[in-house]
Amino acid sequence: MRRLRRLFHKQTAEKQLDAELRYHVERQIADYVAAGMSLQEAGRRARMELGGIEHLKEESREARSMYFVEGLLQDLRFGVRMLWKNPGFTAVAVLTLALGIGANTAIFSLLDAILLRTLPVSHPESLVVLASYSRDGRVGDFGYSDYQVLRDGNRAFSGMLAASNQAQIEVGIDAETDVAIRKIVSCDYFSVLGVQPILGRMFGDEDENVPVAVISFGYWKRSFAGSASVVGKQIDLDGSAFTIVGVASPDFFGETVGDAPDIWATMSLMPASRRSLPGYTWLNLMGRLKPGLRAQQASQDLSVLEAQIGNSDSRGGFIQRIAVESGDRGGSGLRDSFSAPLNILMAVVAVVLLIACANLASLQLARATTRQREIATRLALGAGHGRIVRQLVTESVLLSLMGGMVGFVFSIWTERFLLGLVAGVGRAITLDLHPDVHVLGFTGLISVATGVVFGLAPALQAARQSHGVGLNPNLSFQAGRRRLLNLKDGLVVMQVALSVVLVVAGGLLIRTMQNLRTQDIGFHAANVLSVQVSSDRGHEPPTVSNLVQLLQRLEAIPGVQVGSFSFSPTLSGAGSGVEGLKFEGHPQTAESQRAQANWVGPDYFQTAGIPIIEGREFSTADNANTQKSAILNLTMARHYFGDRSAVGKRFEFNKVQYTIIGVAKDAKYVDLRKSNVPFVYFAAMQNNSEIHSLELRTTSAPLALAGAVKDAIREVDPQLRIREVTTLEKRMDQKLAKESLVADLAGFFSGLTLLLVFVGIYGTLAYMVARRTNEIGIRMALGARKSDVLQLVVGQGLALALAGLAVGIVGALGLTRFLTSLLYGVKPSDAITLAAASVTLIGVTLLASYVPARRAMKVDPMVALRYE
Amino acid sequence: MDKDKKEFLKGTLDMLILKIVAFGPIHGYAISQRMKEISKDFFQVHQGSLYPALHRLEDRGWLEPEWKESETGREAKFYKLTRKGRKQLENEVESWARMSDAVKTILRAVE
Repeated sequence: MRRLRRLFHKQTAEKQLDAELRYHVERQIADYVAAGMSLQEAGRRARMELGGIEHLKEESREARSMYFVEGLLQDLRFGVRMLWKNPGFTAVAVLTLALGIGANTAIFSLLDAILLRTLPVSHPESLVVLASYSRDGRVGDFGYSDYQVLRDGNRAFSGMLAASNQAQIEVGIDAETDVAIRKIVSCDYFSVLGVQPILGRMFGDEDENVPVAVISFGYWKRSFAGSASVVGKQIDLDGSAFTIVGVASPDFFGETVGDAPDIWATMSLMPASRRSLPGYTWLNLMGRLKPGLRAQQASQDLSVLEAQIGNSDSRGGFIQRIAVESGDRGGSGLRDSFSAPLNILMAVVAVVLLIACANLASLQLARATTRQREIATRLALGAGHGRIVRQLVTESVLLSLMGGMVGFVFSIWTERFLLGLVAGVGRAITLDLHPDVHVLGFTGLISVATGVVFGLAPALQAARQSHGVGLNPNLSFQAGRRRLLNLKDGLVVMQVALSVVLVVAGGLLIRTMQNLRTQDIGFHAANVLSVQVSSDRGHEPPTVSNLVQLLQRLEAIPGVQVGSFSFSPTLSGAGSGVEGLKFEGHPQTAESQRAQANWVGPDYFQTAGIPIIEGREFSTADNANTQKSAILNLTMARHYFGDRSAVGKRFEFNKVQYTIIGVAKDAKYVDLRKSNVPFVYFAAMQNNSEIHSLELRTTSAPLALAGAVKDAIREVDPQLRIREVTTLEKRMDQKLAKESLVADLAGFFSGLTLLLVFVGIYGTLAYMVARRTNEIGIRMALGARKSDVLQLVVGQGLALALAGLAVGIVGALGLTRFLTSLLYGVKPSDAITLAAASVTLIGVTLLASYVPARRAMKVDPMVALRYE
Repeated sequence: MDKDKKEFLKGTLDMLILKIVAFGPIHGYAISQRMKEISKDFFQVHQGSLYPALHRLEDRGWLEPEWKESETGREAKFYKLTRKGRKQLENEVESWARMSDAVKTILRAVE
């Protein structure tokens, strides 16, 4: 308390210190005079014995514990004054820092929302996500019967929930029909998560097959105006009546980051006939561990059940293995697909901030030189070294905090934009991006750290250099010049090196994007309209029978060239694998009997634009009455028949003989990065298979026909529900959205670093020219030509840039391999990219040297010499 | 001066100040005069170290300041030992005694 009081009565404390020391000196003088000394001599002795009064005062102040805070307040006041006096410098510095810190905050808040934040449920730490693996790798989700087996058989969990992915449905409220996002969940969904209703009730054990639904808080406000009478209300979900029983608490968005369903419906929304179809995995499973158990133990517990799941699956064990992963942050495909790019982007923006720091440090250094006299004065007045360093660092931290604040505002703007980019990945994404304690803490922390990083070295330099410089104006620029400049040069070299790494990384990602876009995908995505359909009640896909008639009607629409239908929509990311394909004379191993497959209608290849290399494609003649036929892609045909013709050959699948009627070019259906995948097409009409998608090749802009197509569908079959109407080109964009997001951002940040490097080199050279004006004048007076001066300045710039390039290329070679997982068709050590980055940087250097060099060439020897 | 020695002298200086103040409230100049007398025989105390030391001891709550009229009739800052300060002095004297005993024992043994 006493100390605090003294802090606020600082002035009194200062006066008292003064009075105390004055008293001492006066008494001493009096005593000496009494002993017979002259007054002058007595004064001199008294002061000498005590030592420097100011120094003594400073030491006495420092002896107090609150002195640190006192000093800090003083430093802050002084810092604010200094920054206020140099508005230009302050603005440039704050803007630079705001860009760096803002970029970091924006990427971090995305990373935080997607990767770090825990679910808004009770005790998220005891939740685990179950992930299934087939022979081919991670599947992720489970069938309904798998869920039943695991839920009833496990001993590790106090509860286990199942939830579908979110999807759009038509909702009838009173007479109105609207679309909403639904999620089908098991009846213990809310109890396992521990989510409470704010109105009504959640699902109970008896609700599994009862048509009841819980709605989200947002949906309640939006569609029911927050009315309490919503509980007990009947709504229509894709044609069946459901009763709303409750409203979830406001912050609950579900178990998956990025999702935001409006309606949680019980299993009764999924007809029992479809729930447990063999190989139909549609449920994400999460479990709550019993107290004291770990994920590891749960994994062992479940391994007993793995075999049971395998056996229940008619495909001979589709799910091979179950992994138990931590679930405190929920499940999220978003996390899987974005964790690598986000971490890389985080590293990128960190480097941007480092470069901004280097810029600021050189600015501070330049300023420190001009402030040498001020610093020397303060040293002479008794300030300690530590004090000066602290003062300068306080100024830097003050700057970076201001930059942090502006950057925070920047980041809030850019987040919306970033979210839009992420959402482009193909589904509605809702992320809670409002700045939380994490993000604010992060921004504060990096702001302070930034200030210390760019402020400390120049401050140490300044305090050291200014010492002993004294107040001699002619000396002030000479002392310690070498050291100051070396640090400054080092900063430029570091900047160039860091930016080389970023530009190379950006270049590699952009080239990846180009490669993915321009590669031969094996079909023509332009001018194809894709319509996803399902039957009434939402979940029953139509079968072939009623579609042929529909196609005829659709092909009659002007602008539609040809149309077809398929089981898996082209480029939707959904693919099906088949196993047990038996080709005569080929080993009966699981590996050689597997392929990707699709069930397609007549004229499918013409519609998708996949060339038939040999034989023919399916026609309406390939129906249930003719022999079963199939078409292989080239990779598959080569695999089984080598150079011989595959057409006319036969194979067996599911105990049925198929005749190969054609070979098609390889098409990248599912994964744009995978080539040479064996692929077999079956005739949808011969197998009465389900259909999810209609595809129409048009002669003009496909989306313009969407209205006519929808009308025609309703006219022919009112039972059909139209899900999504899009074009293959859009799907392509969605598939590449992640790559393009990363490439765009990496490109943007590379550009930003180039700008910072430009400013850095420009500043260094301009400073050099200003400082060496005399020297340049003398050289010119001695006969140096303008070209010599040009060479001097540009040479200096190039020397720094080349040193930076050398370091940067080594760094890039070492670091870009972390990008490997994101690259396509380009090696991390791609020579073209490295060369392009080098040329770009040299270009930036030359550009940055231009103005200082011109200024140097314009130096008038007479003026320069007179100035001395 | 190396750090250990500096710390050692600082501790010694603190103890001497506390001891001097223990005789009754006293101002800085008087303390410096006492100090001069003592140090004549033993070691040099730079007058410059006195005031920082006083402020340090005050900050720790061992000394308490009081402004009152001095013997010359002017107002001066007097220092007074607090209860905490007295305790500290006792501790220091005790540990000093223990140390000097130990040193004596060692020196005797070496003889």
